Amino acid sequence: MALNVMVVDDSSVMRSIIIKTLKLCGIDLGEIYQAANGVEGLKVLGENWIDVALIDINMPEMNGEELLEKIRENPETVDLKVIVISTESSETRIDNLIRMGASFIHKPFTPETIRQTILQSLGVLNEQGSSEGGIAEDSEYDF
Amino acid sequence: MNKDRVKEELQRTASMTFEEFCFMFTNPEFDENEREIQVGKAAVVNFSGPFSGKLTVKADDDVIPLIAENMLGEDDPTEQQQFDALGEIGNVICGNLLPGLGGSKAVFNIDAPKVVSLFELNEDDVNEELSSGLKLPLDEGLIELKVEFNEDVDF
Repeated sequence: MALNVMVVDDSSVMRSIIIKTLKLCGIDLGEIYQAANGVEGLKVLGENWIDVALIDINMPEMNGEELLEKIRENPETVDLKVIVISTESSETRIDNLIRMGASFIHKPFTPETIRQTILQSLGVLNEQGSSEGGIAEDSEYDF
Repeated sequence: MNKDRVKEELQRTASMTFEEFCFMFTNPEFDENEREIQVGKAAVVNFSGPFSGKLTVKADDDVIPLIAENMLGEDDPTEQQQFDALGEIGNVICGNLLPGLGGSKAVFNIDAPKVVSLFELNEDDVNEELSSGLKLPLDEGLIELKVEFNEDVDF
């Protein structure tokens, strides 16, 4: 099952790195959409089917926390799998993001971290990283 | 302010960031007194929270394209991509440095990085008592980092 992914980050370089890492981590990808801030992210969500959103926190116009709130307020996107990728290290902020149903990846990251987190958020892997069955883990990548 | 502690955290977070994002490693044979960066760019990242200040990451002009190439996995990055890459390096170092100094429960706000030429950096007003820095010699070139605080901080 190919996943449609949205990457939201105000840094074009970071979006490129995330997309490159996604392509290396062995997950079957469909369309990959990009947005530079929360406002653009909401527009992409309104126009396309997205399975997983990878979002930054510190962005202009609408930051990642605000975007996540809007995603959870909308019945059409309330169950969207959201993974926050950020340098954020405050336990307070991270706990708040997790309470809003997001997973969290800290920068800098590895392809394996992205892969595991996506698969865990989809319920393919449990918290220990073991398979729950369903989508096969395809871990062929060279990084 | 414990300058040595700040320097250690800066060394740790900068080395980790260059290694994990750029696959660039420190050259242990560098003589710190050998040289400084003469021509290059700097990423400046302002932060606020329990304490405030800014982080500056300077890089040789020669090493900036290599940073971008390694981060992006592509040859010949554009000038904008190079500036973005340096800015993102500053952002990631800053984001990891601050909790190392302020603790994991502290909440910081980090502004978007700005990339400027060395001529645009105003280094005459630096309060050396409230700043700490180091040179990070990579195999590919020299990086200089400095963190300046707006107030004295008890680390």
